[in-house]
Amino acid sequence: MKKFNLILILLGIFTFSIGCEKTILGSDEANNPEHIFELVWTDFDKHYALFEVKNIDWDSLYTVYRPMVTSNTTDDELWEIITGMLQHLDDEHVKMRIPSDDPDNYIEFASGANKNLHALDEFSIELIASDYVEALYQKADFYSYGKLYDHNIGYIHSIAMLGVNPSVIYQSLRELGDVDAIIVDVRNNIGGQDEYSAGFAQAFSDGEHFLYTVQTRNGPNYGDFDAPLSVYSYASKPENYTKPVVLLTDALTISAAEIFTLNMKAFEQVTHIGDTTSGAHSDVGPARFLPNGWTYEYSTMKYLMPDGKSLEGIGIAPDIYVQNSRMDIVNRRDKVLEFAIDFLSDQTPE
Amino acid sequence: MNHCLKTTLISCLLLLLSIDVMAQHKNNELEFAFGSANGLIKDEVFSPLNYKSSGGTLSLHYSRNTKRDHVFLLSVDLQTLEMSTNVSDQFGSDLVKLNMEAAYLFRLNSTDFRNTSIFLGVDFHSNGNLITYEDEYTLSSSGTYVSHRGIGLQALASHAFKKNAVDLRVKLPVIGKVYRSPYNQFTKTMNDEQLFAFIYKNGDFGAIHNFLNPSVAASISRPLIGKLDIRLGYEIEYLKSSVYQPITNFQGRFLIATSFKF
Repeated sequence: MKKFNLILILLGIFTFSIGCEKTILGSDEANNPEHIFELVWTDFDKHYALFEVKNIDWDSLYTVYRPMVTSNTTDDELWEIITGMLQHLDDEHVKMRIPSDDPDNYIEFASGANKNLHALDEFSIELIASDYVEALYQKADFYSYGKLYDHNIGYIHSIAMLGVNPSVIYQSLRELGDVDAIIVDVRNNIGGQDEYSAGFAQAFSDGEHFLYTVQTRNGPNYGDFDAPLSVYSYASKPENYTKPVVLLTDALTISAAEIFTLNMKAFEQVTHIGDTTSGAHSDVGPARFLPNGWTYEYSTMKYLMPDGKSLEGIGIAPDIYVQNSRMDIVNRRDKVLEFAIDFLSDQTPE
Repeated sequence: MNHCLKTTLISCLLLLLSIDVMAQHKNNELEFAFGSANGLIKDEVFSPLNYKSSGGTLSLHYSRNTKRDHVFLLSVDLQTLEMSTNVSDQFGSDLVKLNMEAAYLFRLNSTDFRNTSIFLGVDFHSNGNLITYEDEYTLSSSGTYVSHRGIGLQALASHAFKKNAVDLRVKLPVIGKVYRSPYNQFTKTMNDEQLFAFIYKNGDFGAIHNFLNPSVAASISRPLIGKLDIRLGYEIEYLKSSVYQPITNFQGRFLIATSFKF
């Protein structure tokens, strides 16, 4: 039995120590309204990337919202106070959640999202599938494609810039055949991965173009960023589609879909029609955890256009502005798509 | 064939060849171990909260006694653990620990003391912790790492009884480089193709003052059948690093091992 003594001693030390969580790790974060507010405010202060480009005075927001929180503040009140403060960031990558296994109890807030929600009612893929496109083929990657009725024009709609291999778009282009033009529709596109966007756009590339720089915040000061990474569109390939292309966007063309838009706008044969995009370019930062069970996330990067300006909160303006109303969709008309068809018909042979 | 695959194949070939050559001395030992692990962890890049961890562990060790009775050791340890907090069952995360080392231990006491052996030596190690979180519903995710690659000290004391043997082994990484998640966990230069290049270009000097990672292991072994031995052991590992942002990890693991002497 003596031979086991060493093992038993170590096991005993560990068992004793594991009960001393506070001694080893320190006290867990306090779960009270004032401390939770402080945790959120400080974390944003130290990590959020867009205070300067959005010209936000975070300290003044503290002076406004911090006094609203007391030790008696309820969860509902705290939620309203914190999300009210975050609303000023007008950044759809700023999110706060109360997670739950039950989707009905899952609560999510996205800063500035409300101003773009009108675009949900101004677009309908069901309407396009039934009234405008002969047959809409769905791809495992989040896009569908087909040919328009009465026109030798292809139509591609992407709902998210997600998938395994964006070069699958080349197969879809081959299946569309020798169409005179293509409408690429990223209205209501929720975003995804920038790399997927660039790969998807490559099928329309006419060469490498300087698109933007991206930097990640790397320190406690608002101006602390790593070296800018210059991003270019991918090079053209022989099988690329080089005939006229219309790109359609709306106010819910977000994040990686906006990166796709930046790629497409760089190509000579692409005309951008529709509404200004959402204006949320940064990658979503890491999930953050709070001692009351809430989570949140924020933007950690800044994207600057070749002229050095940021389009965060501004969005990418189209070359030609056209917008549906909710009633257009109710009346089964997509005026934006119809405008694009007329625009391309004028440019293509009868 | 890419460079990484070539390197792996050549390394395996060399290892097999060396085992074959060394087998002529009949003083090699190959050990496979598995077990369970539990611990406490707080990584302030990942989360301000305290987490508990529990999971399984797998290890592969090779050791060889030289003609002068010194010991050469190679080992790979993998631990996969689930992390939880007292705050919410929605915060479940994963912790993967991968430790690799090569050590050479010099026998300190005379071989006349046949029953007791004391060794002291150095190792070259690569120890890594990776924490990940993903919410499948929202695709919200998080991930941090800490890794130490460098030189450490090891001490081993072994006492043989009639049938059994008891070992006590202490390890202490002394000097090297600490590789830590970036300030905001992820940067654009860390895409899939460049991840490992990024990690191993962005290390900082790490020594005992800012990277303390001792471990103590005790085990008892006895012959099973033929050239096979069985070993039961318990190990405690402590990690406290202040490089970039603090991480503390206290881990215990229970191991059952089978070793083959050849």
